[in-house]
Amino acid sequence: MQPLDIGCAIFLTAVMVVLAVIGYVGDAAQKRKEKKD
Amino acid sequence: MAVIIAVLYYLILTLAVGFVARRKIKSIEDFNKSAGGLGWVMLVFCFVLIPLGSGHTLSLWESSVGLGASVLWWGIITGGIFLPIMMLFLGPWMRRTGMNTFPQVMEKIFGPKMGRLHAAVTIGTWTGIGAAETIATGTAIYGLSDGAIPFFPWCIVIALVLIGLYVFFGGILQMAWLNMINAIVMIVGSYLCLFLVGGWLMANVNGWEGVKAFYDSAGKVTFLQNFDFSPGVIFQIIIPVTVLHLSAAAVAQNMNAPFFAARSDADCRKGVFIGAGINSLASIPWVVLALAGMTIPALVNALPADQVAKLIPIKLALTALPKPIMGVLMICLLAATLSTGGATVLGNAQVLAKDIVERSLFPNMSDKGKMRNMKVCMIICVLLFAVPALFMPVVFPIFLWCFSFGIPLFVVYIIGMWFKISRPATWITVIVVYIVNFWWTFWTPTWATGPWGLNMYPVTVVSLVLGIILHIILPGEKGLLRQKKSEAAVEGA
Repeated sequence: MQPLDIGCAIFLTAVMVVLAVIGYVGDAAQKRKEKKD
Repeated sequence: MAVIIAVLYYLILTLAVGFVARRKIKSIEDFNKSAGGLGWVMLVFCFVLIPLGSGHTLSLWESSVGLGASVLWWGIITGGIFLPIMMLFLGPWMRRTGMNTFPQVMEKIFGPKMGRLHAAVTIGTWTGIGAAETIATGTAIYGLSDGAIPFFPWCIVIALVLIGLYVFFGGILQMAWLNMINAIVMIVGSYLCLFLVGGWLMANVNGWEGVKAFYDSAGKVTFLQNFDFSPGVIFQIIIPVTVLHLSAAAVAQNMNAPFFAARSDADCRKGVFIGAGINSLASIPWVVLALAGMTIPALVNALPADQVAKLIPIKLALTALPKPIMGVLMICLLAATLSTGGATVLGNAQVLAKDIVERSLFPNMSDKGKMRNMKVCMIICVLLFAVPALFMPVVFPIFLWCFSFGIPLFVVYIIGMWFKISRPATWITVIVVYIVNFWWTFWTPTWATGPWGLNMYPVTVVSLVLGIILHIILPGEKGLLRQKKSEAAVEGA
């Protein structure tokens, strides 16, 4: 198999990580807000 | 001339259909699920072109140069196995959850954290696959212009614009209408062009007899047969297409979007034979063109050595067909890649808009705000395609790597629907499999040779073994659909 382009893999991994972090942090913030309310 | 015909055709068609669809769209719900829901005819045409992209066309004809006509198993398996399973079983099952996106389905079964993971993984991996579709579209435009338009960046930019416009104005309704027109144009147009190329072959290289004589004299007597099960065909075509479609594609938002928008379960199932037929037939003309083109030395020698496999059918068509007919052939090719690319933009944008921005950041958006959010997310998703598409040199490893992320998600999804919901078992399975995927892709063990060198194989085995064993051992509750059945039985009693 041809090697996977490392730059492309890093970019796609970064997209996944950033979105997962936004999702988890956003969820946590929503929960905190709901508790406060 | 031909490139102008093809690009103008898509610009005018997508804008016209988008404009009409937009007038029917009154809310974000309409945009994502189509106003009134998709009936069976719209659903089958909408769905049939989504798993019919560069895998059925460009990648397949490229593989056929090395593996022969047996690569057609790709289309046979996608059309004959994946489509019926999605339309008859997986689509209707998923609808029973009552959710709007696949990450929401995963959230309902396994909790919010798994929903967020699925959302992030879906967008990341399908960005890679969408970029591959963009490259295929760009390659078609490059070949069609005979190299006159530079591949980087202009062919890629034109491809991105066409892919984005495919769904931008009317969402799923625009895609369904466009796919219906394009599916018919693609089948009729590509077979008509194949017929005309056949006439040219008769006049110039002794027709199909000449093609057969070429492969016979080269010692490749089985090259034109569909039942040449060489290890290359089995391990690079048959097993990957079966596993990757039936697992990773089955839990992808773009593949499931038509089922979320279907009017009823019966509408999901009704058009299965039409869908299977169109999907299976679509790849044949391209593979035949490639196999015939490779037998004509004047065409092969006219291309750069590293581009022969990629451009040979386009070169043959440019030589054999009048320019307007060549334009029709390219419209057919773009129908495949644009529909898959457009569906991927829509699927990724739905997940980004609903499951990340709306769900985690701004839960109290108005309907207008949701629509604006959706449009912005679509533009972001197209731009995300641009990054790998402009810099990615190879496509096949990206396909395997990206698809492999979906395999454990499918295994735990099926187990969670029909057997048991165990969050620890689910998380352990997914995390271990992702480690294996990275390990095999970037640091392939030296002892993993042959097919075991491909990440897809260990990922599938570990997903199945770990997923099944952990769910048997660890405690959990009944699967979601089993719970629903029990509840229905109690209510009935």
